[in-house]
Amino acid sequence: MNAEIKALLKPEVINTVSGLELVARVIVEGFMSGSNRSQSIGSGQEFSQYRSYEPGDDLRQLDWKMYARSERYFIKQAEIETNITVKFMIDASRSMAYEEGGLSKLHYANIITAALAFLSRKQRDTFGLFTVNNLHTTVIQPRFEQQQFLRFLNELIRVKSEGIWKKDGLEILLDHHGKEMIVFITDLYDVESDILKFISRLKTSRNEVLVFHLMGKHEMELDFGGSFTFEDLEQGGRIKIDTVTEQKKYSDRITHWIQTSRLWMLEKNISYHLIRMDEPVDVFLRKFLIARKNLLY
Amino acid sequence: MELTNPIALWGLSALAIPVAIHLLSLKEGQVIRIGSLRHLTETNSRQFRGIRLNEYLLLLLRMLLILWLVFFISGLHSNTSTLQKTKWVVLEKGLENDKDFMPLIDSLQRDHYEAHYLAKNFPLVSTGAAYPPNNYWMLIEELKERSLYDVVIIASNRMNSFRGQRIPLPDNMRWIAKPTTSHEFIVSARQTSKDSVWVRTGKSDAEGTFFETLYKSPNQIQAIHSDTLSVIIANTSKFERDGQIMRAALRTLDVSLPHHFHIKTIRTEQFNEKDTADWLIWLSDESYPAAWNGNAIYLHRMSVKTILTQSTDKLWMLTHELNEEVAVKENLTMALAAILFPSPQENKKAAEEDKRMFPEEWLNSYDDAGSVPEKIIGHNTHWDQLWFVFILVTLVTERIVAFKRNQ
Repeated sequence: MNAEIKALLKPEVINTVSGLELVARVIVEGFMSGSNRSQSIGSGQEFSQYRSYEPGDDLRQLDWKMYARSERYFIKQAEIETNITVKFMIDASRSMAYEEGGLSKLHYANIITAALAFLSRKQRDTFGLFTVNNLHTTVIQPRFEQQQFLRFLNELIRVKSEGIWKKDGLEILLDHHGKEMIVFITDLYDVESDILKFISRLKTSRNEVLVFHLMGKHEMELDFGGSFTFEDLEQGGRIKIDTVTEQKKYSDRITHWIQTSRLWMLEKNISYHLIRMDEPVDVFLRKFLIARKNLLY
Repeated sequence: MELTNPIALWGLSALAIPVAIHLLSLKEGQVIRIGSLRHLTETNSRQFRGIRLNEYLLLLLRMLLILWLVFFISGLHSNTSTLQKTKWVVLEKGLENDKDFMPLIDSLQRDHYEAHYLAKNFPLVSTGAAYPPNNYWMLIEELKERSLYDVVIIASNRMNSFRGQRIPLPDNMRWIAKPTTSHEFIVSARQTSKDSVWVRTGKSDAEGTFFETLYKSPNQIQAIHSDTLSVIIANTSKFERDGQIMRAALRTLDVSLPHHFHIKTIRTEQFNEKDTADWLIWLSDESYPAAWNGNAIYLHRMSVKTILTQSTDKLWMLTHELNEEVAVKENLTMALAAILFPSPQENKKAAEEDKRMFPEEWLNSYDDAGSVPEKIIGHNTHWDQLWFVFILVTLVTERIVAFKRNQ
C-alpha cells in the first residue's frame, strides 16, 4: 500500500481533482479497511424520549423491554447524533512552496487535507476549507452536501503558495458556532508572529484546534553538505552558508523552536503535530488517528 | 623541449572543461530556496574565503591534471635537462678557411655553435693547433662521449681515415663532407735513358685512385736517375730451375721498372765471399753464407702463405721451392719488387694524394626502420614516468581536496 501511495504522490496527480481524491481514498481506505463500523444504526445511542407506537413505525425501533414491563408499545427515540464540523485551514503563503523530494509543503498540506476530508465525509461530518495568504483567501463554508467534497477538492488544487500570511481581515475564519474542529496546516514561518497570534485567536473553549507543522528533512537537519546560497522564499533575502559548519547550530535552533512552539500551544490547549516531509503521509495519518482514538476513548 | 605527438596538444582545449564547470557553479551558486532564513546565520567571511580558496585550488588541480595528461599523451620531453645545450661545429684541419664552408661556419657560429677541430681532444679553432684526423670513427666515439646537443661535422672524408668498424652516426650529429675534385699527381719520375723519363702518375677522385706509367721526354719533367741494382743468384744444380725462375722474375722487373738490373748467376760453390752485389739470392739446401753482410734472400722452407718473409733487417726467406706455378700463384715478381725497391716516399706521396672519399650518405643514413637511437627512447620513457607520477599525485590531491570541500 505504501508503495502504491508513493507512486501516486506526484505533482501531476495531486494537482487534479480526481487524482487528489484518489490519493485521499487510497490513503484513508488503507487504514480504514476492516474498521467498517456503521455510523447510522437506529437513530443513535443517546436516549431522548419514548412515544407511543403508531402504525407505520419501524418495528425495529420498538422497545420490547418496555413492552414486557407495561404491555404497551413504545417507540424509543434517541437524540439525533450531532456530527462535528471540521474546518481545514491552510497557510498558503509563499514559504509553503518549499520543496523536498519533488513535492512542496503545499502539496503535502493538500494531501493531508484531502485525506482527512475524505475521512470526515465517511463519518458524515461537515467540513470546510479556508486557505489564506495576503493575495487570496479561499473560503468554503462547512456543509454536508454531496458536492461538498468535490467542491472542496476543486478549491484545494487551485490554491497557490504566494505572498505572505494575511494579517487582518480574517474574521470570517474566526466565525465560530457550535462544536468544531479546526485543522490548521502551516510551516509556522511568519512575520512578527502573525500566525501564532492567529492560532491563539482560533482557540475557544468549545472547539478543538490541531496545528500541523510541516517541516522538510533537509530543512530540519541542514544536511546539504557544502556551501550554498540560501534564499528566503517570502522575503527574498539571500545569505551564504557553509552548511557543514552551521549544521549543528542550526538543527539545535530548529529543535528549540519546535519545542517552544509545542509548549506554547500546549499551554493554550492546542494540539501540535509535527509532520516531517520524509515521513509517508499515510504513516503519519495512521499514527495521528490512533493517538487520537486512544485520547478519545 | 620536444613533442613526440604534437597533435595531442589539441587536448589542451579540454582545459576549458574545469574552467567552465567552475564558472557555471559560480554563476548558479547553487541557490536553495527555503521557507525562512530566520534560523540561519551567515557563515563568516573568513571561513567562506577559505572555501573559495579551496574551490580555486580544486580548479587549479583539475587544470593541472589535464595539462599533465596532455603532456603525457603528446610525449613532451626535453633533451636539454641531461645534455648540455652546447652546440659544436667540428671542422677538419684545413677546412676552416675553405671558401665553400665559410658561410655555413659563420652562420653556425652566429647560432652559438663553437668551432672545434676534428682532432684528438677537439681543440678550439681559434687556437689553430690540430693535426688532420687519422681515424674518424674514433673521433665520433669521442664526440658521443661529450654528450653535446648538436654537432655539425665538416670533414673531407678521406677513405683511409676511416679505420675499423663502421658505426651509426648518433642523432645529434650531422656530417658534411667536402666534395673532392679529380686530382692528378706524379708519384715518381726516373730517367731511364738520355731521351726518356719513366713517369708514374696517379689520378685520384672520390671514387678511386688509379696509377699509370708514362714515358716522357726529359725536358718535360724533372726526374732523378734510375738506380742500377746488382744481384747475385747462387744456386746448386738441384735448384737450377728455381734460379731460372728467379732470373726471369728479375728480368720482368728490369723491363717494367725504370731500374736496371745487373744479374749474375753462379753455382753456390762458385760463390766468393769477396763478391759484391746489392742482393744475394741463395738457392741451396746448404745454409746461407754467414759472412755475407749485404741484403740476401735465401731458401728456407716454411709452411706460410707469403712466398717471401723477412727474417732480419737485411735477410729475407724464400719459403717455397719455385716452379712456374708457384711463382705465378704467389706473385713472386711483385713480392720481389716490393723487397728490392722499397719506396716509402712514393707510397707516402700516393697515400697523401689519395682522394678517395667515404660517401657522406654512408654516414648519415642507416637503416631507417630502427632509426630511433636507444638513448632517445630511454629519454622518453623517463619523461613518461615523470608525467605519470605527476598525474597520479595531482589526481590524489584533487580527490583529497574535493573530499574535504564536501565535508
